[in-house]
Amino acid sequence: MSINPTLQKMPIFEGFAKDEMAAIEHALAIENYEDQHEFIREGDQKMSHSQDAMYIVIEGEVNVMIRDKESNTFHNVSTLKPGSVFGVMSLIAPGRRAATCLASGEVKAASMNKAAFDYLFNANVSLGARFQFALVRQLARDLRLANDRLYREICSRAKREN
Amino acid sequence: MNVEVSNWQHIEHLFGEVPAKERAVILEKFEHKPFEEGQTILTDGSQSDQMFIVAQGELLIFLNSPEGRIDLRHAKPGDFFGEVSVFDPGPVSANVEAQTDGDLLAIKNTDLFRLFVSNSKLVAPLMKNLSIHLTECLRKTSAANFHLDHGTWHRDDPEQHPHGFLDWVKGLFFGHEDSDEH
Repeated sequence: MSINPTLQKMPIFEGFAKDEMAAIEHALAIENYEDQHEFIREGDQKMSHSQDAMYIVIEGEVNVMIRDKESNTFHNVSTLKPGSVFGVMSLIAPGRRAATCLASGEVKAASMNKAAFDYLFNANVSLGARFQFALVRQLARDLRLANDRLYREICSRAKREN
Repeated sequence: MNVEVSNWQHIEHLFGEVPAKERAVILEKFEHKPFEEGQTILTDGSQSDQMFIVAQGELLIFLNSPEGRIDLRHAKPGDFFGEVSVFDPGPVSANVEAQTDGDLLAIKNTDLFRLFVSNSKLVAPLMKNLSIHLTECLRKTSAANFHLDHGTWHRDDPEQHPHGFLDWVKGLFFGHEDSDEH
């Protein structure tokens, strides 16, 4: 079996055996996207079963934009690099999208839509559950980094304001 | 079994509707942890792999800064904390201290993982609720960090945030009548 070596090395896939990686990779679609390609749009409701998807950045960068309600402008709150995952909620809890994700330059990414995820889960419940747990773990890791940064700033500002 | 079925009411909102006979399957994975007023539950920088749900009592979540303690929020029955560590074990980013006597229901990363893998349909609502919570927190934290980077948290009117930066952060995350949510 042939497994994409780049994917296999990504943190989200740590702990998965080769045959499991093959099954997951079978459910992924790897494509090249042009600059400014809009993967996800903030506020969009659940799309069709085939369009709701999560993405893994393989090459390039993706900007995560959030709309500021007062000024109605978009802010680039983070830039996702190879190994990053986004759109996870489309597989777990489809609903309004929380942010807009745009390709910054050309991007190669692997995507898994809801239909493929459901198929993976139904074909092998244990693998599907482990993969979902890995996706949520990635969310937690991203939040940990963001929290650490915010808390450092809170402590720093407390000193300045006092 | 470490936890009585009567504790179900404190975690019910996370799990949704679960038949009574299956609740024991979930509760078995939770450890009952009583605490006393003043007890330290978590210390900033210490390693943790658990999530905690407050069954009874009240706790304070705070940061330690060079200028002293910075209170973030109070956790009361039904609230939870440690939702990052239970998926991504690692150093805790804040302190947790008991304000009263009470009880916690705690679940470890490995137990939550095994519970989900062996009973995925049963635990799916919990995974969904926690995922939504993590995503929303990430969204707010990312927005807060953006405003910090660009100095735009105070807008043009500092009087909107009379208590300063921390008040603005609290308003962003927990709601505050004096704060302006971005």
